[in-house]
Amino acid sequence: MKETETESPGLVVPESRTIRDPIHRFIELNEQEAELMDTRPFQRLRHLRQLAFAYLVYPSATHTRFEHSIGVCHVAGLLARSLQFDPDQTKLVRIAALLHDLGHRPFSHVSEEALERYADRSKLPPKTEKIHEFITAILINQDPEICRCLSSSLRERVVTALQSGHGEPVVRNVLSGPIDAVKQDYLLRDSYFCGVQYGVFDLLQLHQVLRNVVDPTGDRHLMVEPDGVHALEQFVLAKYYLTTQVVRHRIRLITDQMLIRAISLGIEEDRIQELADLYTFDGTYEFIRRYATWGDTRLLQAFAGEKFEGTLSHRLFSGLLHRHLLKLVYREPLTLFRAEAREALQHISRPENQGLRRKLEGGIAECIQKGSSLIGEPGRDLSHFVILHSYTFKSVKDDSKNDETPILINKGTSPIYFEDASTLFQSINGKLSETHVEVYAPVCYASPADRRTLRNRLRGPLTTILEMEAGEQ
Amino acid sequence: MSTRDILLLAYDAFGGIICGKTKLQKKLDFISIMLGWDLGYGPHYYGPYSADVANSNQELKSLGYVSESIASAGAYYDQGFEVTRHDFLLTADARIILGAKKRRNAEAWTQIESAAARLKDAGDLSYLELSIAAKAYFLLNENGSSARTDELVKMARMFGWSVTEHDVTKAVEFLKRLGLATTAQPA
Repeated sequence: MKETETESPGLVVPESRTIRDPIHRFIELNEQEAELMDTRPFQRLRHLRQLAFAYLVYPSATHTRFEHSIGVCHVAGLLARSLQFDPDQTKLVRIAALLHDLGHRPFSHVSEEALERYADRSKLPPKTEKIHEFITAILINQDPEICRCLSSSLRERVVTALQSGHGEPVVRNVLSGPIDAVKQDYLLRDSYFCGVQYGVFDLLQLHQVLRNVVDPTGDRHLMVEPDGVHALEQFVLAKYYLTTQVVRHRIRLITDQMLIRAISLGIEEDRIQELADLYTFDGTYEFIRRYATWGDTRLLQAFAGEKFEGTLSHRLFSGLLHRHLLKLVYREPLTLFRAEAREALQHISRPENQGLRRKLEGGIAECIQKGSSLIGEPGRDLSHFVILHSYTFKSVKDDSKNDETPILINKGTSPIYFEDASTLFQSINGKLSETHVEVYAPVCYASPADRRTLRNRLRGPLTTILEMEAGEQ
Repeated sequence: MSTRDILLLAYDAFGGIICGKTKLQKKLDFISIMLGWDLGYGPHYYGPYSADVANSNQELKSLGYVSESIASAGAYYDQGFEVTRHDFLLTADARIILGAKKRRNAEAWTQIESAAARLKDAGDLSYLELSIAAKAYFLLNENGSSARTDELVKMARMFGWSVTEHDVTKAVEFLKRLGLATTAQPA
């Protein structure tokens, strides 16, 4: 490509590369993609695990965003071929796929909540909703190494393609849709590295049945052929199972919340400047340059290290490092609570509910400590380490759409929705979406019987506390 | 005000029930157009779609404020694209919290109520007719001005979707009554 020749002045133009991969076997990257892979922002992805703390449950789940990004580039290329994209569109989706995770921070989505909470929004452009997308865009547009690989017009197109809700529907569907290249790679890759079969589906069969359909108004859409409904069912179920069994695993939920709490304690209570600097995003490239030097291991080792011993956050960082985790002591469905309390409880983690959350956690800590011999450190104020959290399991039907538009089955002039075309999905009750309220606390169990005893003892009092206080909101 | 609260109030303004996922999407789309609120609508094959509205509806279900029932498949199959009809109904629990919501968002509630009344007055459209109206309007109104009826008719005929002349006429009349379409100028 001309662009590669003209956009790499002073650099040795690398050759195309073939990469061994356990999921896709051989992945071919062209010269430009190989050059992008060699940039520092991309190499940094080697230090960000794909599944955060899932390795505390599935020991081999230590794969990183580096190999995932290369895999997504490969799958995007396969999709582009199946959908008969022209060379220009193929180039766009492959590069956008390769760079889609560039803006991730240590522990990826987990610490995103902290980044959202502590970002200095007065310094960000108005309507900056997703900070990681914004950071990805800044890296693509301003990192000197990436700028040497891509022309400014291509950088602009890649950034647009990666922004939610932008670009041509069929291109967007390859990068961010219910059956996009990202999901296709992570389902297979995460299953493989976790050592589970939940996320397995027939990738090549799925690609066989995808169509690039031009509607009468000229827009192009990704659709699935009617005889591909079973391949799609397999994909949707794979995503559902992987989400429920791996991403939403009980230990994952606890570790994610521990990390978020550790960061907020470090910033707000311990006043650790290094931590505040890492999450107070001010929209500058300088911030991103500094933040890009941190990976998962560095973050954990640094804040669980001797320097911060005795701080509140140290206890949680250290717990994550050594797998001394909080325990689930309470779990009830949201609909158990009276109507007035539910909304506050459903979004209890949001910054606007922080005051209520602290109050509730204080009351819960007191209740847990009262007369319990199962507390790790009797007499110590536990309120900082009691975490109230809620999460929603979407029904498999709702999960098939994720946050994107529904999948369409190509039925001539009147395509129909996947869930209507699938006999299997028609038979599934669409109402089964549930939100649960959970409490994690630093307790020790000598036996499963201890655990049951504590949970039974806490169920009534904690429900009362939550209902009374949250219902007042 | 969150999309979820807007949706909750819209349910009440529409009498506590919305029949069909497409109707839910399109009714909220027209409310967002009339009130100038951004509810995250973007292009979709069958007209504007908002994942934000879909997710908010899912949240209302998990809160127990909206219940869903699914009508048996088949009846619609030859007439459009919604094979299964999902009906959404406000629950008794939602009624408990609605009063406080309306008081807290009094101005927005008045706006939503009035927009819903205008939609009802403009005609009781099927999901297919609403989709025609929403997509035609979306495509012709990207620059923000009112669309001309002759352009809307031409555009709607292009969609395919097994639409009839009657569907197109109803959709355009609906837009005219809402003040979202102007009479065609003579060539």
